[in-house]
Amino acid sequence: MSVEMQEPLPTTFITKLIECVGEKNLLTDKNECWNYGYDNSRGHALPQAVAFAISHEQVLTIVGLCNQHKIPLTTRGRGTGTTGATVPLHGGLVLSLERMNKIIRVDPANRLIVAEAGVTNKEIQIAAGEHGFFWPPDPTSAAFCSIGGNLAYNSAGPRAVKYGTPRDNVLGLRAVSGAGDELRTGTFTTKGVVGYDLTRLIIGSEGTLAIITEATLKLTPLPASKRTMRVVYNDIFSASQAVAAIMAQPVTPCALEFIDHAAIEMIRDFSTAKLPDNAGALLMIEVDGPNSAMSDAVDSIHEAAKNKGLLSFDEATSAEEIAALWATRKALSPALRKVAPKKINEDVVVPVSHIPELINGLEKLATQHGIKIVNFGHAGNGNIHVNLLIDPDDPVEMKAAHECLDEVFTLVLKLEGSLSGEHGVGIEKRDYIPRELDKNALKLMQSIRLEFDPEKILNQDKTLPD
Amino acid sequence: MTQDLSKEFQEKIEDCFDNSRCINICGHDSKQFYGRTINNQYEKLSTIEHQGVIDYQPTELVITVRSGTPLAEVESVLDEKNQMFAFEPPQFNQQGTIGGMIASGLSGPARPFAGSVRDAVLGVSCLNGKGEKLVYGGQVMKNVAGYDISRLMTGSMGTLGLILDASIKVMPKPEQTITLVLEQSAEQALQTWQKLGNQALAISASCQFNEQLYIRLSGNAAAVKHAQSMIGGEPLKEDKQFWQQLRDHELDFFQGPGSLWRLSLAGATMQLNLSGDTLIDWAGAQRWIKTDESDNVIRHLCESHGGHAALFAPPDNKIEAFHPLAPGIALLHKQLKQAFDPVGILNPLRMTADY
Repeated sequence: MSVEMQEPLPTTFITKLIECVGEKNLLTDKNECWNYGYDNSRGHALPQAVAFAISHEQVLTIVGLCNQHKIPLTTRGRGTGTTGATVPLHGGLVLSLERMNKIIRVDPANRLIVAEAGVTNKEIQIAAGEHGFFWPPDPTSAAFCSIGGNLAYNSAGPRAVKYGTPRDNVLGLRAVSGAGDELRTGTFTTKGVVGYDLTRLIIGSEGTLAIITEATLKLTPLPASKRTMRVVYNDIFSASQAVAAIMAQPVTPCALEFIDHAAIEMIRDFSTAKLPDNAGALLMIEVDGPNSAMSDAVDSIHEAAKNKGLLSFDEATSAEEIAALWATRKALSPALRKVAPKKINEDVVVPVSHIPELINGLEKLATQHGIKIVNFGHAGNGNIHVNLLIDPDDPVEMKAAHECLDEVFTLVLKLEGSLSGEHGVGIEKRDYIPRELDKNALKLMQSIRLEFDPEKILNQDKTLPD
Repeated sequence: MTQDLSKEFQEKIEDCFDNSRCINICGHDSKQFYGRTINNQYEKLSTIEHQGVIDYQPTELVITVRSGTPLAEVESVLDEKNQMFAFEPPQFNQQGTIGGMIASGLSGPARPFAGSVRDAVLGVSCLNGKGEKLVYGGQVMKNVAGYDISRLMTGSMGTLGLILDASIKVMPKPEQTITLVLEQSAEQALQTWQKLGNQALAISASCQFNEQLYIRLSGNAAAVKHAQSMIGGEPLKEDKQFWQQLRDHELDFFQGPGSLWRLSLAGATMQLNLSGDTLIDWAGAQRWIKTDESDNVIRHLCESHGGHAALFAPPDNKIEAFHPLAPGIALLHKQLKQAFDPVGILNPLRMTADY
């Protein structure tokens, strides 16, 4: 909807907003508001106003005002999401929580940290690290993304294979429901649930049920040491067979990353990383734990990784060696940026044993639609990042990409997978959701949404289709 | 035995919905003591003949099972492949079904170190209060499509739906397990847990009672040896049996006089000033107490430390089994119940006196 078609925001609403957050924390100028109309997806829409809350109480007041005046409300952190959940489709008010950036309490005795939603993942890691802990979720955007957004999307990152997703690493939330009610879910205890598990319900709901203002995060002790391995296979089947074998033995790696043949060739073209000529797939594996257990852990992984397709197994122990091995993986992102700066990056999930079928199917779709596709991602839990290297400014390529994507999702669901493992749904995947969730399931989710947000002010037309 | 009774259950719930007739969903009734006592006049809908492993691929670390399948049977299937449920689900009276395990949401001694049953439930198919079949989640570890309903069903005591089957994460068994015993009071144990808490040691369970601190170590041989050298103490013989008895409430402690309360507290909370015997589990986060103290005293004290208290085996409903919810959260619970079960026919009054 263009801004010209929207009713202007009521003067009383603006006046009350100023009373709530102060003039310096409210933007109404179109040029300034434009900067808060996009995230890391291709979506962009103009909000009519942007408010910066600095307290939970202000969020309560703002949600109350939006309910009273029926103003669409889109909450955002740092805008690093890739599926458009923070794009203000219907204008209205964007509520930025980036100034709610206080770490309220670090409690090493109880292994928890309480922080406002605008604190970045990196700041959490630093604060926890000072006490010998870390918070396991580490999405690619960890240096910049806020934990509010991290939780809204349930974005996990590579460590999820051992330590779980945000849903498994949060003890409780303070939030404001769409109806404007104060919510405190969970407790400071390990067994945090009394009644239904609202904490996990709100995490991953992409700001459609409630606005998270504060979170109590469960911390994990930092491991004493880590070992990194790079394992190369001549084909995807051998790599996939190794992933299954590695996951089935008792030493669970803290990272098990996968790069397919097309991605390896891209690294070869754009970096000096040395890789065997016939490399068909590559795994980057990390294990962590006490120093004395590392040698046995690496041996266990090596044993599980052995099969007929194994070409090389390299282990790094020193910081320099670790950096050299990861250089291969890290060469990938700059290469991708160079080849296709506006690529489409999907993050589908399939059972580990179906990874070869997925990769083969993707290769066929790439040929069929004339699009280059490279794949890499978190193999240990089957979460593969499928990158369509296209130029979105080329309408022919975009049309082909959309048709291809449609078939990618069909393939993923045929392989008993899911459309998204951590990027979320937002706007980008909303229309594909009915393929994964049946009519009854969607109907129930919509009724839950209405219970939390009866006036439908939060993130309208996102996450769930009508 | 393998038998799919989904259709029969669906017809039954549809009929109950049409006639506003309440039902009591149950398995072996092995956890009757947990939650509120519900009226026997409600018709029983037993899941115990709805059985069978639907899918088990050990390399995928997931098992999909019908809800009436005995937990013991599933664990023996996992055992054959050297795998396990990492959350160590209780099997009271050596009974219990997969449906009951999920509906109760109870986890055993490993819970603070290996996650809870909620963490392990990847997908659920169920029937809501209208008899509609709903499928949520799947067999993959990560899934952010839509709301996390599978976890909402976990611990909901059958009040939101009848679980037909579930996909549950499994883990490889550790290479080695030993239990160390140290002579320590509750106060000393709380300090020990503090000291060990910020180190990545291979601890898989820890409890304290009768002036003894028990610490179980699980992992590869080197990790266990390393932790043992840090902790000290004496190895416990028959340790498998000890943790099983703790998990299933078979230790003498649980047979003593007084009401049995479970206090959920932040692990570092000091010993609470309550009369009666205490067994501290989950490295301080779960405290069992046999006491005659009043519910008001217990709950007020727990709340003042940011925790909550549940009464096990309440003789009647004069004292609520579960800790009361804050008004806003209670309202949302009611609304959620309404969304799943609009007529309120599924396990009425099992969780709360309100519905």
